[in-house]
Amino acid sequence: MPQRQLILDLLLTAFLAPLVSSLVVIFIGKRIMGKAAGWFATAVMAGAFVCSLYAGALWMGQADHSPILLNIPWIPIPGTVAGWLYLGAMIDSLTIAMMSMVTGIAMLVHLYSVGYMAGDSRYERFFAYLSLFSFSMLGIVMANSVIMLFVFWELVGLTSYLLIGFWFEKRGPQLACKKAFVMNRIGDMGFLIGFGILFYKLGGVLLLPAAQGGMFDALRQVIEAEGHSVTNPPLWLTAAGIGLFFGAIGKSAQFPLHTWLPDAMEGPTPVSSIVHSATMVAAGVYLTARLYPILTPGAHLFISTIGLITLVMAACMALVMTDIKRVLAYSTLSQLGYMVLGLGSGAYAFALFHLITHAFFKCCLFQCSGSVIHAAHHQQDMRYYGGLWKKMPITAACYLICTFAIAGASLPFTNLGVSGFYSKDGIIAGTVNYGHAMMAGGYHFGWVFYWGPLVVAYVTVFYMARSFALTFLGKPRDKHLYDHAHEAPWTMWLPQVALAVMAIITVPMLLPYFDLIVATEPTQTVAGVLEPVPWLQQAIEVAGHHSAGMTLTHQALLSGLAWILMLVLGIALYLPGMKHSSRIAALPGVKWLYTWAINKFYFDALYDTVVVNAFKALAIVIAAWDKHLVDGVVNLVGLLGKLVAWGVGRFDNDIIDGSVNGAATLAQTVGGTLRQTQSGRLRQYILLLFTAATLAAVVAVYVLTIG
Amino acid sequence: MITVTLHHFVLVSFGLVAAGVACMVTKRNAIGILMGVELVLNAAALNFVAFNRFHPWDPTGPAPLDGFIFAMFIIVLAAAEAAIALAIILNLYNNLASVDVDKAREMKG
Amino acid sequence: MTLAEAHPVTRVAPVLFLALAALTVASAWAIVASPNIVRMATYLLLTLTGVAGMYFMLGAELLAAVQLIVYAGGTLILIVFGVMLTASNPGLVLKPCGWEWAAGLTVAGAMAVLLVLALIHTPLIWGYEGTVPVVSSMEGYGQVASVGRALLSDYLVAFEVSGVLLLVVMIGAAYMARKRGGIKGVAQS
Repeated sequence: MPQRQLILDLLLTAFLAPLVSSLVVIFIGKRIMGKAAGWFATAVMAGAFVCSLYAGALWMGQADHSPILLNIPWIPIPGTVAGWLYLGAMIDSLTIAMMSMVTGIAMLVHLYSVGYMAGDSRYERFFAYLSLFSFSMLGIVMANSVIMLFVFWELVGLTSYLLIGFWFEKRGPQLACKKAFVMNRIGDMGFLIGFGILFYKLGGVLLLPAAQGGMFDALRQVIEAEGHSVTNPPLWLTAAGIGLFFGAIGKSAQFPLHTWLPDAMEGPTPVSSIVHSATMVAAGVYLTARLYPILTPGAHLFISTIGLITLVMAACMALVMTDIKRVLAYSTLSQLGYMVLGLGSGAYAFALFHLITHAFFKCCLFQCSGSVIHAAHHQQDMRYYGGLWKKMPITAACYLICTFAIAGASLPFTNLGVSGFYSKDGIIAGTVNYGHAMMAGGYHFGWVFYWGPLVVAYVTVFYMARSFALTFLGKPRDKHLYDHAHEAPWTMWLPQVALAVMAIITVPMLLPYFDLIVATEPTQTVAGVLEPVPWLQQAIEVAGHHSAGMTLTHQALLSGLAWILMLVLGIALYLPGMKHSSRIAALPGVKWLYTWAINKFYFDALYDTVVVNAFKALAIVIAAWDKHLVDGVVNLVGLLGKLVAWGVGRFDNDIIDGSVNGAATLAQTVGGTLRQTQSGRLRQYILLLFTAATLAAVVAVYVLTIG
Repeated sequence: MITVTLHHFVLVSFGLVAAGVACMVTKRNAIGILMGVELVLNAAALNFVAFNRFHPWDPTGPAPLDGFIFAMFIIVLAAAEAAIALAIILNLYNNLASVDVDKAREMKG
Repeated sequence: MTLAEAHPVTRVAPVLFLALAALTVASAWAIVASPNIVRMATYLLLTLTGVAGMYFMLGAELLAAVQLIVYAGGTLILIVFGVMLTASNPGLVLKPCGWEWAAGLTVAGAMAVLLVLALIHTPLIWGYEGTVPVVSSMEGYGQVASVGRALLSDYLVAFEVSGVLLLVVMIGAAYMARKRGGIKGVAQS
């Protein structure tokens, strides 16, 4: 169909354009383009955005929403069912939604970076990295097979490493980028284990490119066909699902691999705004969404638990942070926890919708904080801020709007709100159903699954209000900083405004994101088919369209009043700065919690001691092994060679030369002995003569007579 | 009475040969060695003559003379050889001022 | 008739033979035993005479005469001249030591033993049959005429060659024994 071909071409252009721009900037950016490199990259990204929008429009206009497939055989793997490793593209509704989101945000961040990174010595290289990152993220979104997804997954990890460690002269970024990469790797190890389990059990089927139902849908059909759909879900399937999810844990910074995300704030703010809010961390959620068809109820439980823990823990930590970027980082962690919990509870559509809305408002929040940091000459501690709304009104307004978004603001007692309202409340509703279903099945702890997100929803508003108040409201606490503060250049506040606008209007009624996502919702999941946990099955099915839970949610959130309440409370408490909060933190019961939270629950210390030191010790042991044993063996071999050579030399010297010399000596001795017959004495000659004659005669006679 | 036959003459020549050999081997005087040689030659000639005398012979033909002639030539050659030997001994005496053969040891190997 | 009966010579032959044999062999061994060169020459004369006598007994009269004239009267005198010319000290006695005696006598003895054994094991029974005629009945046996005739007919080549030989010997001996600028190291007595 020509229109589908056009859609495919447009999206491929959007996919490959950032790669081309990255290569161009890398090679000629510094020498030829100079400042224009940034504009060039932004323009290319804008072109990609336009392409994906147009493709999206065409897609929406179509009736047939079956996935468009492009399968390019890449590496032959003889002996398997698939026969090849495939590259290519699989384009369904979710892909369309993600593409437009990613290209849009990438374009805005490129524009923002033109302002933020101006004057940096490696200005052009930043854009090369940024474009490469965008290319990698688009690769994940468009992947048509697990292998291709994993390739671009790794590429995303690499480029985020390059971006976080962009200012590599400083110690902080060096350590942070290494930490990010290593923790991602640990997650990927789990991913590969899960993949390995599936490969072991199902064979080369895994390598098949996406069929009509999405990447893992084919897999689900295969699993069913093998007859696993009837009895207990096999343990290996749960294990595989958990393993694959581990990749998401690493990438999306879930508990326990969450410690890299706050440290990643060492990178430039544009990096934080794209990588750690909108795209890379979202990749984990995207992967889990694609995994959906093969997740067993056990895997679902695991995912929900992880999401819940992350959610709660990160919110606690965000409450006490004083660095503005760290507050936003922990906020990201918390929101990712929401998304993961949503997926685990079966609220597939709302979790993914939250991914998209979160991308907009978190990106905007980071960019606002970047403007503030830029204006404050890289002072990031909020205790030095205060009253900046007068100096930076646009930034402050954008920040406020996005605070509403993250709070899930809505007009009280109505169903109208900003984007965050729909997505977050949807997730909570899903968890309500899930928790209720669990409790109905006899698991009495099921209530944590919805009380947790509910409480954290309050807390979220509170800490966002806190950061807003500390930064923009109240009296300036550092006069020098306040005097020098100024509004950001237009290249920086324009993207903020655009994103803030998106944060408001990305509602199901106005923009088609939600519909696109719902269109790809897996109708049949393994969990849905496997029966022995009927309440779970019911819960997941119902959670997909959870009008039942929504009621309870709205009630719990005081029908839209809760956010107003917490906002006011937060602003009020932090208007005069840290005065009141420090007094509260000093209270006996609270102080202990505070200490724990501010030390990030001692996870960093724990990992450092247990993991890092263990590996260092192992490295020392292995180095000693290498040096003494392996080198020792090599030295021994050398010594043996020397010994052998010595032996051979001795042999050659003594025996061979000796025999030659001995022959000569023998000849000499014999000659010397025989020589004595030639004494010169006549009588001896005569004697010998006659003796010989006699003997000869005897012999002759003997012979003649006998013979 | 014992009949003197060939054996007796041959035994005598044996005795002469033994004496000649002993003389040649043991004498330090060069002329002594020459004398030993003469003895041996004599013994040989005697042997020839004895064999010539006692050899079976057809009485109707001429008498055998081979042994005689041979012995004659032995005598001739003995004389010639004695002359040469003495010339050598004179040379030896001129060079070493002595006829002791033990002094002529320059040709040792 | 046996040989002993046929010829009167054969009757006295054993005693004569024994005497001559004793003389010859004893003189020969005396040469060996004597350290004095002049005594050795004397004993050699006696030996040569004894051998000549044995030639007479064997009927070889010419040869016996030749022996006496040439050998005893020529060669021996030559030897005595040699003794005279090389006498540095007349009383000088050159004696070999003991083991040399042993070695020499052993070799001589071994040779003698060998020869005797050979003789014993060789069937030489001539002279016991009546095939050997009496010497006196042999026509011209050992006479000058027959020997001369034989020399110039059957043995002509040997005769001529020995003549050449004697010539060569004479020249050679004369050349070898010529006087060369003084006798070195001779004690002036």
